Amino acid sequence: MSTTVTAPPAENKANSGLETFYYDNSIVRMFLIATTIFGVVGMSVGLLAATQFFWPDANFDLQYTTFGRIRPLHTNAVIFAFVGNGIFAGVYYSLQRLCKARMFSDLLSKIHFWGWQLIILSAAITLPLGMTSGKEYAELEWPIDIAITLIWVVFGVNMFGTILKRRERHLYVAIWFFIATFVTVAMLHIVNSFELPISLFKSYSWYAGVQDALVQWWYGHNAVAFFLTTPYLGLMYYFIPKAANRPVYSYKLSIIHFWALIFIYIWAGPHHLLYNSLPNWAQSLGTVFSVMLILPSWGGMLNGLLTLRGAWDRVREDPILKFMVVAVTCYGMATFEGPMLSLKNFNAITHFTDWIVAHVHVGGLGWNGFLTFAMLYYLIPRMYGTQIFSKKLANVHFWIGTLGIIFYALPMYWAGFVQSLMWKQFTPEGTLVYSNFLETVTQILPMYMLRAFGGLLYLSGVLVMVYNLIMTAKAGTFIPETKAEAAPLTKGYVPPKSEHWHRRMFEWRPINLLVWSLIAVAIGGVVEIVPTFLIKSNVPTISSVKPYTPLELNGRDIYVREGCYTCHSQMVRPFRSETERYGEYSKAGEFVYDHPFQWGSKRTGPDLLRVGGKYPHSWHYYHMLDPTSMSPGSIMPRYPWLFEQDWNKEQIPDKIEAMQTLGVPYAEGYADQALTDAQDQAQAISAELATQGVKVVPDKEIVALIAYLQRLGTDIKKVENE
Amino acid sequence: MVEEALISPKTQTCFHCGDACAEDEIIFDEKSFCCHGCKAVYELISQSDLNQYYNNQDLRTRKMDNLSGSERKFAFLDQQEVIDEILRYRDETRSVVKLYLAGIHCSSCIYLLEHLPKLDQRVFAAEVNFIRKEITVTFSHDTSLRELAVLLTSLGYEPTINLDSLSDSQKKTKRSSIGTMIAVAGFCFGNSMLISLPEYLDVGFQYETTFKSLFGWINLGLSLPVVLYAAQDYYKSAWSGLKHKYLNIDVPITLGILTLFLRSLYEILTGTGPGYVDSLNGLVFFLLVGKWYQGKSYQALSFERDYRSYFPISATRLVGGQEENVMLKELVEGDEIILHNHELIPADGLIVSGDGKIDYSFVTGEAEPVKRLAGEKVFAGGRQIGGQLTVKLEKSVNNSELTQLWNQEKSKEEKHQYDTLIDRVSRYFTVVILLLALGTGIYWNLTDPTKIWDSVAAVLIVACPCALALALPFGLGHGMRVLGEKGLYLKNANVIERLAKIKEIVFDKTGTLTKNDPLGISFVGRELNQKEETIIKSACANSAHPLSKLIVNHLGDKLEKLPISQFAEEIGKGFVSEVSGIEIKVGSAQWVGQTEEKETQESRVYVKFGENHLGYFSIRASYREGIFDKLTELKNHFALHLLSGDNETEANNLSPYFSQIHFNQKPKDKLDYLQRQNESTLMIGDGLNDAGALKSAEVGISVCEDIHQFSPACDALLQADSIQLLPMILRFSRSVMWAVIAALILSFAYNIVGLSFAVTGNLTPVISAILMPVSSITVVGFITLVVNLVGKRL
Amino acid sequence: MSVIIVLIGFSLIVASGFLVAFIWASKSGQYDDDYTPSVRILFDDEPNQTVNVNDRNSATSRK
Repeated sequence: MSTTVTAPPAENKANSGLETFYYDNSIVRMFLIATTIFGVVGMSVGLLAATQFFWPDANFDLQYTTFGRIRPLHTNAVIFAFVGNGIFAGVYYSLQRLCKARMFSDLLSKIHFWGWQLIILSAAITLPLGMTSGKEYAELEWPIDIAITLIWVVFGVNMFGTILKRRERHLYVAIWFFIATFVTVAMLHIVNSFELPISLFKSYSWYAGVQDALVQWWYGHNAVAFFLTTPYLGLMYYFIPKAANRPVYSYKLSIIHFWALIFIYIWAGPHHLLYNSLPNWAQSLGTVFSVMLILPSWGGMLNGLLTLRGAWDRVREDPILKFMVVAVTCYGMATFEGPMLSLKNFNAITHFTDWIVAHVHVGGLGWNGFLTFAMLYYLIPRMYGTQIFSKKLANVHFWIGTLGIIFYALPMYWAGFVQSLMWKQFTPEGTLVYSNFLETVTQILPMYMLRAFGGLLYLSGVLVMVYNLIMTAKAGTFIPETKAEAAPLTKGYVPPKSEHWHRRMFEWRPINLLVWSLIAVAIGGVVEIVPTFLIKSNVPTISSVKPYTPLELNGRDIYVREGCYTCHSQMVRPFRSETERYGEYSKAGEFVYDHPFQWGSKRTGPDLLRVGGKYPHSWHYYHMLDPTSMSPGSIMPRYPWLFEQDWNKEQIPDKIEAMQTLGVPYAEGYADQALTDAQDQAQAISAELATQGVKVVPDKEIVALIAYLQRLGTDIKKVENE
Repeated sequence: MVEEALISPKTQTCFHCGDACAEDEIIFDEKSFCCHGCKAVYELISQSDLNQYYNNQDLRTRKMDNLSGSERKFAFLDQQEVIDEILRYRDETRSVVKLYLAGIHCSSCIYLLEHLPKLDQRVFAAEVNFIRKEITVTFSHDTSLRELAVLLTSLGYEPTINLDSLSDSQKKTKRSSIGTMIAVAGFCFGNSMLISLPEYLDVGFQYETTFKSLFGWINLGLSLPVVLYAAQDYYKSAWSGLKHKYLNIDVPITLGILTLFLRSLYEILTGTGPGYVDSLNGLVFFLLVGKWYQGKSYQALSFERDYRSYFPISATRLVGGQEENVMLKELVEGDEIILHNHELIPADGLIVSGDGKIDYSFVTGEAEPVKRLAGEKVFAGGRQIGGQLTVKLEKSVNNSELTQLWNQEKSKEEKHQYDTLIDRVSRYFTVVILLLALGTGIYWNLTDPTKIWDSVAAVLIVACPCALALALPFGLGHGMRVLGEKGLYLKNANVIERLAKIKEIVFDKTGTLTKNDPLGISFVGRELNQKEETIIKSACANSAHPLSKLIVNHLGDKLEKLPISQFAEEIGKGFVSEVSGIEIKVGSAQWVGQTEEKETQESRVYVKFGENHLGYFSIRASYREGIFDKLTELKNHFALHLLSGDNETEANNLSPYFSQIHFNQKPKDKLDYLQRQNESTLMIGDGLNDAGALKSAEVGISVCEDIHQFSPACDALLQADSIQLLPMILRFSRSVMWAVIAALILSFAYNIVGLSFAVTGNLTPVISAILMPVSSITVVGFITLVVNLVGKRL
Repeated sequence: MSVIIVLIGFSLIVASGFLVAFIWASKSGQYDDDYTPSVRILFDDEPNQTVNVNDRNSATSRK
């Protein structure tokens, strides 16, 4: 027995195989703080936006705080600032420990952090100013897009560097999720952000109409998939076992979960465009794959929940686990709903309604939000070497938060359902029961109030958490670095199978993955050129569809700037209820000159595709000045500033040239006379307005906007007249 | 002994390992430890939340046995050639070795083992593979392989190192490649399906010519990896089948694959159609999954073990009076080797010096050691008990009688290669298909020649027996899983098919019908007081006789051991000794001068203090619970045989159950006996002595208390306590085969439906794309359901 | 619809990238052992870390 005393005393570290190193906690803390702050900010903005639904004056008659501009601010803030920083915090914490190595480079970590915050800051400034590319979840203008790309690469280098110098041979499944996130998001962002700048803060999407829509929702869906889902699944697979202190229910299942998800997710994009002007086969494809998605998703959810089997007593008392349980459950709900929504007949009801809003918020508030909170409650005490300040408060947060989700989701589901039915309801005589869109809105105002209340609850829960965390931090002292020991990998170690070539690949595979992503990006750049040649060839062009006049183009830019697409669609689906209400349904050919497309995804107000010529100029004039004057009870905000600001003259030539580059057939050298044309048209409009008893200077933005609105969807009618 | 320690922790036993602590016990954390090793382990463990480690009984009972010997036991690990054999990697600073540790069984083990570097600074890294119970250790050259082995043993994880473990490695490469094949096929299948869907789902797509051709090309690209790489095994197997004049199942499969591919190639190149790429990829994917599922086996278990995993790696050779350690394989005829107490005779030979007490129990099942004097013959597999022994080898290791057992039978896999149900079916199937194709060709040739190739191709495509080929793998695969849950671990799924054909069962006695260690020991006579027990124990402790050892264990070691003044033993009779002034005689009836009773079912050890008889220890082989009911049950359906290495003592107990009983069977006899048997014989045995028999039987099941410990080569490992499930198991295997047949019929139905489309020339890609997966999935679903239902009732 | 070519192209590139990654993983024995890693991550090799899950739980169980 005494034979084992051969072990030398432990303090003798000489020629020990163990390397001592330090995990970098400070970078994790920075991201944790950032995610907390931007969580509060983003949600507050959301609350403000929600309030304006039943109390339009909540925009204080300021253009910068009007729904159309703060809604993008809200989405960007919660997705890229709150969730984004959450991801990075989680990755920087878990990756170091999973790889048994400090982050590859502290400098890169810092660049990554400050760069990302800078991007967020610039977003917070530009979006309220109305600088937007007008594509949902990708509103940021081109300089910021480039910045994002650069910072993302920094993140990638830092991550792969860490993986390379890891001391643990096995790549835990979470790491795979992180890798997938990096590669795919890089690709999505680059492909979707292809735009042609005309000034520092104005650019036009490279693609037009249907093409733009396709790319946008391919991006939109996969952004959800790979920014809001895969990284958080990685975090789930790390933090749930850690918090519960028990291994994941089935590691094998988690591996299957990852690969299945990866290979299916990429294809599911098009389901966001069901019934839109997109070939049926493309839509069907999206549907099929979306439905297939439910399998891996639920596999993952069950794996997460079953990890806690036999630990339910712990769940009852440990708020962290509670948050996780709800988060994973919400993931399950959202991933069940997604495929449902991609079924055509279900989609026909829910699309453009608040149902979608409820859907995404179950995901956002439940899955991302609660998992982030759980992470914060788990990490902050460790970062500060202490216990959580008040478990009670954490529980309070949990309950308010959960209530908040319920108060948010249920009314929205209800609102969406009710409104959709009202849209489709016909009288026995075959006319619409609610021919006035407004009726269907006022009907659901109470729901909007409840929704705002839910949001308020959720936000106040977060504030409770902030207090709790601050007190926790106060109680302890921050541990900037955590000491750890591990042996380096034996280079020559050859695991069974793959005897030889593995030896070569072993160290290099992570690099290869990086290379792969770069190749993808590079080839992307090349392939990207193709569409510009094909633009005309492939979209069925309609002879009567002509490019916008310079003034209309200007008006359209204002339309984009004010974010009208956040409440108004420009897409009449081929249903009787819609053709009855709005007119001829949309054709792919109508959008060939739309850079970017403005189909929209939500109808808080009526569809505008066929609004052209529907009302006299004066109607629009008064309506923009005070919507309630034209349609009493309208919840659309006032746009007084359109009547003070002049539409932009200097840029007109550039805009025309840009359009020409993108294949819009303006006559050669038209850019030079575009301005005069614009002014003439403005003159004409203001003259006509004068006849209707409205006095307005032609230079005002409202004129340009009216020009655009009156042009909308009229080209088709010309065909009929001819 | 450890149980004692647990019951009364007050006694000074090591808190970690439960051993009694010497005078110089180490007190730490109010707990006493027997050595620094244990203390170190305790510290490490208590640093973390692994204290449940100490509530873990079986872990502690396994600990520390015969550690004292481990220093010498692992001495051979200092030989360079051994080291070279074992190490997986070595450079100037470090070495990497992979060891099998039967002790690994819980997450605490993982923690403990992966923290070796903290226990011993000279260990750089340790990585556990829990599933395979393996640990990969990287250690500096300041320590040695031997020290490492000793360290592990001291932690309670004695590494299993033997000739066998030297020669493993290239087992798994096959499975990994099929994994890759599945990945490739699955990937191509998914994407080609995606690409093909528009064709099926949307009429509008017909007009999008640009995309039709584009998708066609992408599809073609996706089919290449499948046809060229993933499906290669089927070509090979089909070809080798044809070479052996067999039409195995892979022939029609290969035909199907090739037709599908060529057909698609033609359609896409000529732009006449979308091709069948998705069906093709799907087919290969499903087939591969089936293949993989059938190939699944229990990684942690080894069914290939033979004498090599029983023999040590090296022996001590005597050269010119010098002892030297040499690898077994280097031993040649004429070498003189030295055997210490409890060492194994590696090869047949003659005793040169020393008197041998050879325990052949593992070889012959005979409980009592036999006495061999200089000049007498000893056989490989025997274990020397007592003094040192010098043996002159007459044969090399591989030619010894025992080792011969393995070198005779050719493996059953070859024997059964083309004999599986599926192949027998497919033989006819293939012929029919070819005729059908021919017929179709002729028919259309007469009516509408333009349709010939379409319809013939269609026939071959549809006939491709995907579902057919899936029924068996999944049926057997599930069967294997179910049996595994019941405690019968099959070497591979096909064993079920053979199990279903069993008509006769041959049993081994010791260790199979009876428990390996006779626990049924009791003292008959007057009550013994503590003092007497102490004396008896002390005396018996000096005897090498296994029965004496049993008595010692039976009396337990709470009793201290008294010094004995004299001791004389006569092999086969008993011994006389004097303890604290009392003369004590222990042994057979006439040894102590009592009348021997005939016809006892038990071995008796009589005890006599001075002149007064105290009585005797009755030791009877204890049969496994409920074994007899099961034998009766089996008797009605099968012919039962019994082969026992033991003497007739148990004859009357057993005769009612067996049609034939043979005692005193040497391993060779058993082997011959089995070879005389016709096919469809099941051999159930344990230990090396049955190895040959197990191997030559149609099915050989080896019974073992711990499936991870040594067991001879066999088709299945049966957990000792589930032996009474035997009748059910046999019934189950039959029902599985019936289920498979039902599934086959189902899949035929599908083929007929498909063929009806095909021969009439109406098979469109859509139909095949639907038919292929639907048939496969339903058949797989069906078989899965049925087998599991049957398994439920098992 | 030409843009679909781009999207499919990209998706395929990335997908096959992951396929390669998968093959590497399985070939290099990443998935030989589909249990131990899930346990391994629970061990914090952080000596003297004041708080970690283990201590917190064991606090009750041990003293």
